[in-house]
Amino acid sequence: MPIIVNLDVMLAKRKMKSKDLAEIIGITTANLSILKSGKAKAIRFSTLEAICKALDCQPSDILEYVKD
Amino acid sequence: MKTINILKTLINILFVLLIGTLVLGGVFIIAVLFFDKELPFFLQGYTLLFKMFDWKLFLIPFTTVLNFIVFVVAVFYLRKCIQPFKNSDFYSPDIIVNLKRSGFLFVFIGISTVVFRIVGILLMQGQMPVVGGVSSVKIAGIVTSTLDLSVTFLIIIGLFFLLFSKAFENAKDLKQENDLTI
Repeated sequence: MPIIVNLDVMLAKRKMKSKDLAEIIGITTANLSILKSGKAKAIRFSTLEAICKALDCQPSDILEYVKD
Repeated sequence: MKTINILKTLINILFVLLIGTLVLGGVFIIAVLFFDKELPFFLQGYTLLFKMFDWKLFLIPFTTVLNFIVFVVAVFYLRKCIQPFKNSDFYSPDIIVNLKRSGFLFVFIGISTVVFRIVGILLMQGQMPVVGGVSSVKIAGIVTSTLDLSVTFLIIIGLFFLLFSKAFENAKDLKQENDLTI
């Protein structure tokens, strides 16, 4: 898929663990792992909003479009 | 849950009865063919049926037996669909595959029954003197007479199963997409 999820990069920048982020935004670590690995088919605006709020960043910091 | 339990019981009963009929039929044919002398008196006449063998006479009975076996297989596939339903696993690949197989077999039985009935009637007519020849009206009459309610219903049920299979396949894809929406 040409949409790349840079969540692990943002987590490293903010020095935050996946487990902590999952707890803050209220999703399971398994679902966060699906999102990080790029296996997710879609992301809800509410989840994106919660991630941006928790990591203090913009959606563009997490999602990136790369041509095939 | 009650509906599934009733359905499961009925399918199991039907399947056992069909298998029983199949076994008894097989035993009967073997007994008539090979142990005619040992059979009770009222069963001994049946061997004549096989002695005056003419494939034209046997076309419809033979295809009926074949269709019966295919019907047993179709019911077997339906039976396999029930367990995932009982476990509330509605998107199981077993349901999709078995409904598709079962639907295909029901449609096959329906169509082949009609085709062999038409062929059988035409062959029989060929053996008998036909007054006024075989007109298109007569052929239309033959085709109409072969399409009885049970055959039409079987084809409709088969097509419904094929449709359900497709619907469950789409539902499975949608569920997967929904599950992978974070």
